[in-house]
Amino acid sequence: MKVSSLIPFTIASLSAVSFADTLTVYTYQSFTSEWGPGPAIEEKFEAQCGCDLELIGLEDGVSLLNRLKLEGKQTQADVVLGLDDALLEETKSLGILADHGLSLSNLSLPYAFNDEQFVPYDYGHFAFIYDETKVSDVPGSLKELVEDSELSIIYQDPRISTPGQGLMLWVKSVYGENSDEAWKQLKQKTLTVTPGWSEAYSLFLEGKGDMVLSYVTSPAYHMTWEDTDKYKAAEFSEGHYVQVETAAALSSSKQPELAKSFLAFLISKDAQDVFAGTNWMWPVLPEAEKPEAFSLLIQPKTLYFPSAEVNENRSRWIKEWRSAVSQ
Amino acid sequence: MSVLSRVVSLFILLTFVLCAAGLYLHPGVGLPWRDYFDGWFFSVLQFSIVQALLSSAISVVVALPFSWVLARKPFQYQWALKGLLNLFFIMPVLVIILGVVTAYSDWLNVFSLKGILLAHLYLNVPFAIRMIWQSLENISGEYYRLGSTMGFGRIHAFRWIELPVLLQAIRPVFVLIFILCFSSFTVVLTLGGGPENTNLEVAIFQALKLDFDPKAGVVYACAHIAIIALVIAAFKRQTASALEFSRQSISPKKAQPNFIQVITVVLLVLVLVYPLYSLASSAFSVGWIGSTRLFEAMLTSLLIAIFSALLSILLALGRAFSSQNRFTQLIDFGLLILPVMVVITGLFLLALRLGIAFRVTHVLIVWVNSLMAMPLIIPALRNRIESYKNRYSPLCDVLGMPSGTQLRLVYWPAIRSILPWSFALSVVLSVGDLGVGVMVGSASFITLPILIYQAIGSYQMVLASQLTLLLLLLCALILFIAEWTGEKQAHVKG
Repeated sequence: MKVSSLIPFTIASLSAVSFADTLTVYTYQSFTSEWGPGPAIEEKFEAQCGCDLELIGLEDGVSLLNRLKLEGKQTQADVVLGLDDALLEETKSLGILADHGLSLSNLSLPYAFNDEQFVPYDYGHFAFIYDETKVSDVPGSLKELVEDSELSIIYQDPRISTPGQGLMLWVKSVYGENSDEAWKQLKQKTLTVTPGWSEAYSLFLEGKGDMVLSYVTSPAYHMTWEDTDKYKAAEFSEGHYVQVETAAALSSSKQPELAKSFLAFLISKDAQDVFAGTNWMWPVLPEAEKPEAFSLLIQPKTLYFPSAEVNENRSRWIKEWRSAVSQ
Repeated sequence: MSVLSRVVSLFILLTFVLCAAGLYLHPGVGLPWRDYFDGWFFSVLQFSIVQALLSSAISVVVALPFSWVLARKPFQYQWALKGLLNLFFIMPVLVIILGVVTAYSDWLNVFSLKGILLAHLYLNVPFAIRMIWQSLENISGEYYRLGSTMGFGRIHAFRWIELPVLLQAIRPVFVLIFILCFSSFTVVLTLGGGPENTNLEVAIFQALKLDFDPKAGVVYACAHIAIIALVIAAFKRQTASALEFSRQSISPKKAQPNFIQVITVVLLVLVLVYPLYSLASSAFSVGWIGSTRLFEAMLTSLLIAIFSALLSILLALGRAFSSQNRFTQLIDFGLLILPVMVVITGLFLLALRLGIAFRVTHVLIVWVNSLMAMPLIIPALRNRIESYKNRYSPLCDVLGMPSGTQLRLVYWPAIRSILPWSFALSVVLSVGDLGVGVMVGSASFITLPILIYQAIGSYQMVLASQLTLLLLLLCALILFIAEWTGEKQAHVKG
C-alpha cells in the first residue's frame, strides 16, 4: 500500500521539477482517452507553450460541474473543458470563472453564441440513429415518432445522463406544455431507458431497439472506421436539440495568461482540426479538417433553450418526465 | 487475535466516521428533511426490497440442488468448475446485460423485472453454488459413518446430517446476495425499462451526482442501512454447525464424477457460457486491436488488486477470529451495509477538502476495495475457524497452549485450504472494479476497467469486448490457480 501510494507522489514531484508551468485542465474521460482529442491537443499545445498540460478526466460534464461546486475557489484547475451549454448558467452562478477576452466572431455555431466566459469548441445535434438495413419506416419528425411510429427506441435516463437530458429538452422544445402527454405516448415505444450512452449504444449495436438516442455525428464514426454506411441519423423536421461543448478559465488560476492562451488555442485551426475525428462532434471553425464522412451527415435545424431557462426548470421537467413515464 | 479484531473493527468504524465527515463537508444544501419522505420514496423503497428479496431467494433456491449434487462426492477437476463459478460473480455487468438480452429476448421481455432477476441470477447463483458446495464438502465423514452404523439411509442422512448444514450455510449466502442485489445499479436501470423500476441506488446516484444533494444521500443511506440491518438480524446465523468439519483429510480420493454430476456440470457450464457467446463473437469479429496503454493499465490494476486482497484477508481474519454480537455482525459486512456511492463520495470529499485527493488515489482505492471484498470472504473463514474453535479450544485451554502455537497448530491447518480462494476472490473483485478510479480521474491513472470504459465511450465497442475478454481470462487464470492450490492444500495433512 505504501509503495503504490508513493508512485503518484514521485510523478508529481518529477513533473514539478522538469516544467516551469503546469496548466491543469479538468475535462471528461472520453476526452482524455487515447481515442479522444486529449493526446493530440496535449502534444500540440505543449509544443507551442513550453509548458506542461495536465488533463484530469472526470466521468462526464455533470461530474465536472459537481467537482467545481465541491472545490469552489480552492480548485486546482486552471481551465474547465467539457461543460455543455445547458450547464453554463449554473456554473456561472458559482462566480469562479474568468473572462476570456477572445473574439468568437469567426466561429460558426448552430445558434448565436456570445459569452464572455465560455469559449465553445465543438457541438453536435442529438439524433435517433437507426440501421437502414433493418428499419424502413423512418419517422420524419419528432411528432411522427411520438404519435404514429411503430418503431421501438432506446434512450438514456434524463436524471443522470447528458443525452437523456438532451431528449428531455428536445421533447420540451417541441411539445411545450403538452410534454406530459408526449412522454406517455413515447413510453409505449420505449424498449428501455439506460443509465448512460454506453449501455444504450451497446444494446443498439447488438441489434436491440430500432432506434437509439445518440448524435447526428455517430454515423460518421461507423463510416470512417468500420467502413459501413448502414447506420443513419433520422432527420426530424421540427429541428434537433443541440449540445455545444465549451471551456472556460477559472479566476483562481495562478496562470491567467497561460489559461487564456489555451482557450485561444482551442479555437485555433491547430486544435479544431483534432475534434471532428476524435470527439466525433462538429468543430466550431468552419475551415477545420474533418473526416470525409462528415460531408454525408444530415444538417438539421437547431432547437435549444437558453441556459438560464434550463437551469430554472430542469428539476421540474425531470419530475414531469418521471411521473409521466412511471405510470 | 483479539487485538487484531479490535483494530479491524476500529478501522471499519473509522471509515464510516471519515465518510460521514466528508459528507458533512459537502457544500450542497438540499430540501427540508421531511420533503424526502414522499410517495415516490416509499415506492422506490418497496421496489428495492421486493427486487432484492426475489433475486436472493431465487438465487439460493436455484443454487441448492446444484450444490447438493456437486458435493455428493469429490470429483476430478472440480477446481475448474469452482473457478468458473467464481468468475461469474465478478463478471462486468454490461457483459451480463448484453448477454442476457441477446440470449433471452426471444423468449421473454428482458426489459422488466424478469430481466433484472435473470441478470442477477447469472451474477449470483454461481457464487451461491460455490459457497453452499463448500459448506457441504466440510461435513465430517465421521458423521456419515456414524449415521450408517445407526442404519441411516439416504433420506435420513439428508434429514439429520446435510439439512442442518444447508440451513446454516444458506443464511449468509442469502444475506450477501440480498445486499448485493439491493445495491444493484446498472442492471436495475438498464433492464428496468424506465423509472417505474427505480431502486434506492439509482435515487442515491441521482441525488449525489445530479441534484448535488448530500441530505438526500444521507436519507437514502440511512434507509439502506436500516433495511440491510433488518435482513441481517432476521437471517442471523447461529454458531457454525458442529457437523461441519473437514472431510477431505479422510476421503481425499477424487474419482470420475458420477452420472448425475456429469449432467449437472454440463448443464451448468452450458447455461453459464451461453450468454457469453455474444461477447466472444464481438471480440473475435476482427483481429486484435490493442491499446498503447494496455500494459500500464494491467499493471496498475494488478498491483492495486494485490494490495487490496492482502488487506482484505487481514481484515477478514481479524473479524473471523472475533465472536459475533448484534453490532459486530453489521461490521462483518464492511462497506456493503452502506451504498457504495455514498462511501466513495464521502471519502473522496474529505480527501478533496484536505487537498490530498490526487495523491491518495491508490490508497483510497485499496482501502475501499478491501472493505468491499472483506464481507464476501468472511463467511467461509469464520465457518472454518469456528468449527475448529468449538472442537479444540477446550483442549488448548487445558494444555495452556499459547495463542501463537494455537494459531500454528490449530487454525492454520483449518484455514490453509481456503486462503488461496479468499485471496483470489478479493484480487479479481478488485481487478474488475471501476470504482474510485473514475472519480479521481487523473489522466495518468489508468486501470483495465477504466480503459474498457473509455473504449466504449469512444465507440470502440469491439476493442472493449476484446479487453473484457482479456480481463476475464486474467481473472479466470487467477481463480483456477487458487482453486487448484486450495485443493492441493486440503490434501496435505495439517
